[in-house]
Amino acid sequence: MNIIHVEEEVKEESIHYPRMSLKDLVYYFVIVAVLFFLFMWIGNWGNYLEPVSPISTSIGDLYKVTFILAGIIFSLFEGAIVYFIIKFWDRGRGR
Amino acid sequence: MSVMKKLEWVTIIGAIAIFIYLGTISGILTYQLNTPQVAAQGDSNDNYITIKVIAQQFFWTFIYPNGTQSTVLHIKVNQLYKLEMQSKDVVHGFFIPSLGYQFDVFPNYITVMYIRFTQPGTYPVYCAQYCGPGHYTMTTEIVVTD
Repeated sequence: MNIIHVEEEVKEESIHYPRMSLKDLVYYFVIVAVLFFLFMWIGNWGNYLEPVSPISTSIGDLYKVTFILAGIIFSLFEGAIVYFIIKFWDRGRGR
Repeated sequence: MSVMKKLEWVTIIGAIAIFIYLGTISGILTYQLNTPQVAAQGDSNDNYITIKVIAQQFFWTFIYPNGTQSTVLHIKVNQLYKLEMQSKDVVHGFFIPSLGYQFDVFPNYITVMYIRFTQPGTYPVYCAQYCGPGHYTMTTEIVVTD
C-alpha cells in the first residue's frame, strides 16, 4: 500500500516525456494537412447553399465557419491517430 | 509548468473559445434570422407583401393579396414577402432546401416567415414533418421571376 502511495506522489517534473523530433513533427503536420484538404474537398470547401437569398447567404456563411473549424479539429485528432499508427506500427523488430 | 501541461491547457481553452465563438454567432443569426431587416438585407425597400399559406393533407395553397389562389408560389425576385402560414389539419413543415431552413406549420396558429430571393429560378418546397400516408407527395415549388 505504501509503495502505491509513493508512486502516486511522483512529481510531474520527474516524468520523462519523449520529445518529437523535427522529422516527426513534419510527418505529423503533413498528415494533418492532407486530412484537412480531403475534409474540405469532400465537403465542397464548406459551400453548402447557393446565395439565392440574404438569409441563405447568412446560413451558408455560418455553415462554412462551422465546417472549417470542424475540419481543423478533425484533422488534428485524426492526424494524431494516423501518425501514431504509422509511427508505432509493429514491423516485427521485436520490443 | 511542463510543455505537456501547457498543451493540455491550450486544448481546453481552445475548445472553450471555439464553442463560445460558434455559440455566439449562431445565437445572433438565429435570433435575427426571421426578421424583415435580415431578409431585406442589401435592399432599402423592406416593404413586404403578405401571402397566406394554407397547409393541408397533402398539398399547399397560396393565397395572394388580391384573393387569387395557387398551389405553386409565384413571387418576384428581390421583393420581400411575408408568409403567414397555417395548417388546416395536422402539423406540417414548410421546408425550402435552397434557403437552408424550415418552419413548422400548426393548426390554429399563424407561423410567420419572411423570404426574399435575389436570383430568379424554381425552388422546390417539401413538407418536413410527417403528416400522414401521403406526406412524401406534399411538395410544391416557388417560382421566382424577374
